[in-house]
Amino acid sequence: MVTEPRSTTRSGAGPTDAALVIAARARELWAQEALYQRYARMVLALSQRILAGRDDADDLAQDAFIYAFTRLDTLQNPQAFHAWLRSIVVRTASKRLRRQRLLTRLGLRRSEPIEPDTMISPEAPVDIAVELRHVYSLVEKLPPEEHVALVLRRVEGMELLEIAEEMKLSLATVKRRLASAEARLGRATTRRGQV
Amino acid sequence: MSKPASSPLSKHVHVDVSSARVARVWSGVSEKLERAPSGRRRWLYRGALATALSAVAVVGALKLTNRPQALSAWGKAKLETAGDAMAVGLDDGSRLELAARTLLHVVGNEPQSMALDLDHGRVDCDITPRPGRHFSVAAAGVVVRVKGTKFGVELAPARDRVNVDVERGLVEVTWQDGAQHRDLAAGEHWSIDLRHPEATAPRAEATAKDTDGAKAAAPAEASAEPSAAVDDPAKSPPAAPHAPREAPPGARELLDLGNAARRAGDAAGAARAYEELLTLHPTDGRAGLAAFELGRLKMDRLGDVPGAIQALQKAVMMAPGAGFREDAMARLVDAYARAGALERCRSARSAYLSSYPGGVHASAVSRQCQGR
Repeated sequence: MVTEPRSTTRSGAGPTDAALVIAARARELWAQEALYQRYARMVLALSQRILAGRDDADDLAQDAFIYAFTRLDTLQNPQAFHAWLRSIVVRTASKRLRRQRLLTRLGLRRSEPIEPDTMISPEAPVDIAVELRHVYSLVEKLPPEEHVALVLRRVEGMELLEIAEEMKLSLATVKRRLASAEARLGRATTRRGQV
Repeated sequence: MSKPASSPLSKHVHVDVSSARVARVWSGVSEKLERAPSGRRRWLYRGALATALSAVAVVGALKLTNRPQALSAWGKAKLETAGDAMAVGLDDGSRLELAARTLLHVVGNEPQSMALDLDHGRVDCDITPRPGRHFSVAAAGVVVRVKGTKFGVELAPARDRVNVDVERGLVEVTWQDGAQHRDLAAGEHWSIDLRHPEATAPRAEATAKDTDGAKAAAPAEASAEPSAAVDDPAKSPPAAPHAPREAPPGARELLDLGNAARRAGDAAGAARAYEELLTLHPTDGRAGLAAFELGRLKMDRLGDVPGAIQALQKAVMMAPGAGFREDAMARLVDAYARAGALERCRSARSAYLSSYPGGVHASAVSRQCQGR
């Protein structure tokens, strides 16, 4: 599930997201850094999980923060920075995956196979490890939007409405994409047999 | 459509959010933010960029219509970096990494050859071997020719020195219009003082580190014959006993190393990395995958069937719930068949078919272990 944006720092004494956003809009570097420090780990982790361990998660996180900081004036509710930033990460990841597929198809980029086992925590229970392995073995074969939707649903555990909001798609489109991805996941799981 | 898990799987995905990584990404963000234009200036830049692109498109279209045959996308291209490094993937799988403040010209790109000219800066090249294709990088008259390798060429800012580092494979370096040449092997570093190319013998030295992390070789003494100036890493003096030991590499690092070598076609190097992982981290969650990859390499690339059997047995035992277990079990049947161990082959076949009766390899596995 997506956590609610924090209105203050954990101590309760720090500036709110809204205050930081207003200062960052004025190109105050300290405010940008404070927002970065507050959300960097969330963005890096989400990037890694969506890109399935590819080594360009840092680039995605960097692009997402730069996009956010240079377009803060378009954020209508400064307190909603957290959700807005997540949405930027998700949409930037979709774009990046689309571009990578295109470059691979044109022969300008080498395809990097996903190694699901490198992504799964060694402490993960067996049933969860198997599910993660199935998901990450499948995503590279899916169209980018289905790839992202499936990771948000299965790995991030998000509701359909939340996915629609983050991907800036209609609920019907998300349902259609997830239905297609889930059907392929079901077939792949059946083929592999129960372990 | 199934419901999402009540507890998200995300917490079981291994992610690196170390402080070092957070700091590294921030340095990239802050650097770009300092250079980013403000909202109003951004529109001005977009307008200027659109005008420039239109002009380039018009010029390009005019040129193409006047030429009988268009060159490939890379023909005569100019690759230039400012403050940031840039990586470029070529259509044959090769990869060029330009350091910041580098200018590299593509002076030739034909099916049989690719020639680059380094104007300034540094380029690191990871070249995919392709029979019959020559790849070369020139820098101030020094030419480095390649046959499937990974190496770097650097031209000092004052244009007075060229440095070459070879990480993998073999390159041939020529200078003084081809009058002088020498071969450089993996781990060797070579440099030349362009102000006195004849008076100063080019230096070559091994750059590989020994196990204690100390430099394996000191720079070679100047010599009239450049080829005599190469240090043999095997003859290097042992590291001082008090030299600080490096921490052993982690399982993730070794797996990444093995995977990178495997993708680059270095089967022996990949096998060494996987074997080291199995030796140093036998209980790590990645050990099963390393054993599986090792088994595949030994079977398909290194022709070591007994070694493959050993590795695949480990893979099956170490990762009972892994997605690759089915493949490992099927390969084990094949490996026993190749080794002529029919009893073990049949036993492995039964094990596979009882675990995966409808598995993707079931029909191929059923046909194995025929004979007496």
